[in-house]
Amino acid sequence: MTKRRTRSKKTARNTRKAKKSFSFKRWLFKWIALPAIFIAAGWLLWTDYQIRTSFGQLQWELPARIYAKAHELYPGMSLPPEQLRSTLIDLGYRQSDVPNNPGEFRQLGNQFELYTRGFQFWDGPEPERLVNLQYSGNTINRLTDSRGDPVPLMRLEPLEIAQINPETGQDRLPMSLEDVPQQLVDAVVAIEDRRFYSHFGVDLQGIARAMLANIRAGGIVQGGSTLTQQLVKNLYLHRDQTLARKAEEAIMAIALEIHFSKEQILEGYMNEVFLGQQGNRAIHGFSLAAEFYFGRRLDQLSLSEFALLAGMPQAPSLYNPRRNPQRATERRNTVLSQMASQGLITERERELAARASLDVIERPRSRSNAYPAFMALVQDNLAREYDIESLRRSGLRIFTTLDVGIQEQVEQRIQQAVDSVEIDSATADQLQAATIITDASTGEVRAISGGRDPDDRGFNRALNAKRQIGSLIKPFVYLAALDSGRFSLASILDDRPVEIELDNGDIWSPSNYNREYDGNVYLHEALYRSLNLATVDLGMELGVRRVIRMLERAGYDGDANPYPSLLLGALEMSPLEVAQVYQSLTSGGYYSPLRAVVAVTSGDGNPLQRYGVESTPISDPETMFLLEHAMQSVFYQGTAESAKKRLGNQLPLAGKTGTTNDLRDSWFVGYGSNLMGVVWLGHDENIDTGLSGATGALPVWTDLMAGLNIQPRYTPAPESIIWHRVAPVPTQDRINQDCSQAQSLPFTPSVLPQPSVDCESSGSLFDRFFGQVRSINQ
Amino acid sequence: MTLIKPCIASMMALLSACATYDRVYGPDSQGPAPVEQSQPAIVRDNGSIDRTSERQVFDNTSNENTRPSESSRAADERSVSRPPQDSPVANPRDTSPTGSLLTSARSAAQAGELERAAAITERALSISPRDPVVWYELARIRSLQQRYSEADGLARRALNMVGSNRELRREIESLLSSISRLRE
Repeated sequence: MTKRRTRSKKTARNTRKAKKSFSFKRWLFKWIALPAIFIAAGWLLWTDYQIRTSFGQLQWELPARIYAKAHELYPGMSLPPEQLRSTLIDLGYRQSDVPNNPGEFRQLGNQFELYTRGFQFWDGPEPERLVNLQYSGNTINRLTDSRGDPVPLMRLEPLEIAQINPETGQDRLPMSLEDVPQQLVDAVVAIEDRRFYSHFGVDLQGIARAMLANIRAGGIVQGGSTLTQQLVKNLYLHRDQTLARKAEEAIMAIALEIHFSKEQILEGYMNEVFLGQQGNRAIHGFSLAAEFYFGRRLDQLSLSEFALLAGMPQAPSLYNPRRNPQRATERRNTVLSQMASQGLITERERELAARASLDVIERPRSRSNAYPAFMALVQDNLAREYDIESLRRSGLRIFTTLDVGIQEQVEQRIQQAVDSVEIDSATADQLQAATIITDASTGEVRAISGGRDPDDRGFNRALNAKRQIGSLIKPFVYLAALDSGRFSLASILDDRPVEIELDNGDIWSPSNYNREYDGNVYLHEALYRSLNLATVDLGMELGVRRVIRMLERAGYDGDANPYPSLLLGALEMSPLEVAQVYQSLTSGGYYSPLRAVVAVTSGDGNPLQRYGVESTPISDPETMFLLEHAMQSVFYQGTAESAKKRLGNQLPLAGKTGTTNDLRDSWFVGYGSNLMGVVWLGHDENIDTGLSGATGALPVWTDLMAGLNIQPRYTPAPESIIWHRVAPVPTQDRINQDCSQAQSLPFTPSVLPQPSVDCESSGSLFDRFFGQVRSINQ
Repeated sequence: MTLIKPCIASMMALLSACATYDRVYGPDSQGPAPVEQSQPAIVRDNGSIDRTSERQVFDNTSNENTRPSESSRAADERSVSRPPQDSPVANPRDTSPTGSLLTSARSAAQAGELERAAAITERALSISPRDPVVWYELARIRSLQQRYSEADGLARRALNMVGSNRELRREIESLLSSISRLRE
């Protein structure tokens, strides 16, 4: 400063003209140069600071990954070979003559050789291993490892069915540099930036060479960008290339090199680089690209595959091996030649790798559109504990209960099944459907369809359509009755017209579905034939509140008014809520919350949250057994008898039809020992469907469940159950008793049939014995 | 003095440069939330449990008679593959899928990893949903976790399936009575 001032004083003593010209310079200096220097210095410092902090704290936004239920494999398991095969293909397994890499398999007749990839589950690791699997028909009858030792059971990796992506759509599987195979690092450095280890962020020699080449070619054919510059550009700058941007990029690259090691920069590059696109999902980083293109982990790839990936960053779309196999092969061989010429591989290695086929797997299924109705339930379950931002960013792994095989079957069949029952398909308001399939014991949800078109991403009727449930409520009326200890299956109900005065003075006079009435009926018959008047008779004697309490024990958490019409199902529930209360029946009387999510781990497999099976009794086993007997009769003699023939040897099953006023809703819920299915049919406009539960939902249910290997329900009778034969005609008058065609029914010791219908005059000891050995389907 | 103006001007320029920076770097520099912060707490076993007593309970009750009857036992012990968790095997002869899982679950429970034991047991449940032993094992784990009301429901369900296996019935009944004692 002092020097400058002396100099300016000296010049000030010169001529006016000189002084004038000098003052212009001074002006220039004061107003332009000085601020410019300030700005430049400030900008440099600022850039430097930003690079230091932002790269130092660099954290990738990682999508949550959502998995279907993993396939268990064990001897004795029934899984048709073609289904195993398609599961393996879905999982990105490649067929190979000699499976010697994870993710490969071979099928020889009824034998599979299978090299699994291994997976970190919530409850522990599943190792990668080579196994031999032998079929007998559709059953796995031998499972051995590579030494021939038997394997009791194993799990395949779970299929990834969806992701909850960050808004950028970026997906990656970050890994640290030490886990990246050296050969890939060599390949990348060789082709992209061979002086990477010696330059300071900008490679002047490289730029000069590129410029020369560009001038010669009369256009841009080569870039002199270093890996560092590319990383800076991808992380912090826009893609457009201006000179100013180039300068900024260079400065930032140098700043990066000053503060961070070559290894840190390389690791950033390896995880950041863009390598492909699938719909909205952007494939970043070599680790994810290995899975995306080869269906294997990065450390399971070969030299030729490393070279292929290393060649892609320059133009991921042009060198896409699926779309442009020829160009991709050429580019791969260029990379191999570069590696050979730099002495990173031998000539022999180059030759072998250059001859290898590309071996990319088929494009994985898109992960953003599959199973929208089920995914809605998953999001619903997750929303209790996770906010959407943490799902988009934290790389969580979500383990669901979805059975892809069941879901796919439902999707394939539902449309046709609904078509075949629809009466008037010409109406603008199409007949709609919703389906929920759950595991009968544990309440795990196996499949959901939210409409007749399962890909429909609009209104999810399975979760959100609240409709009257009609006769679906009846099992809970009868369960409440049996549970009260005052009724048995042979209690006599009054199926006659009735007028009930409501609290507001109105008269309610319900009728039966067929407008007829039966007079005296047995309780169990009133249930399996779904008689309205007998149900009202029973419910009014029992009290509506008692029915509501039973529903609540079974898992209903809505707000039901205790009006008499509730006894006939004037209560709105979604198919999911219906599935919840029926789950308590399928489980044999234990309330288990329905679950779509069973566990959550961090991205590297650390256990976080788990949602286990719960089981709270809603009634005693004896009462549940009585109800089960009547519910199975629905298929043998009741409203679902029409399905008996088609289901054939899959019976006994239990179920209930439901129809609402003016045929607006057609319901069926049925269950075997393994699965339960809820089917609802109706119009979004809530108009007449022309279908009852038996003519609409039941055939659809049968179409779906017959293909799903639903298993018969052989429910053993609890020890204290006693069997009594009762007269075929329910009568209060003992004299008219006719026991020639008596039927046997189960009873609890505390409520036996009344004498007027009891055909057992003596021998209750025999009955006790008989009751223990028989099962109710007899 | 004369330099004040240029200084202010350059400061302004610097500030506007900062604003530009935010536009360019904003989305990246915000970055994802750190994983640890955005996740809920890890599920821990309820309350503190005396590990030794757990082990005793498990040792006392790991009775071979309660193994599922469907277990097909391999004659050749040497060829037994370890269950996936590679645990010390309590009953190395039981190589049925359910049996090998229950073995793993027991050793997880003995190591104090009760929730993991529950997870493994539920895996067995998905293979043998009507095996009372599996429900019983799950009930015991919940009881050790002091989740008594869950344990009670699970044990009752086991009891409901037990059929003619008197020994198992006795065990479940004794678990139920110990649960009701502990709940008081």
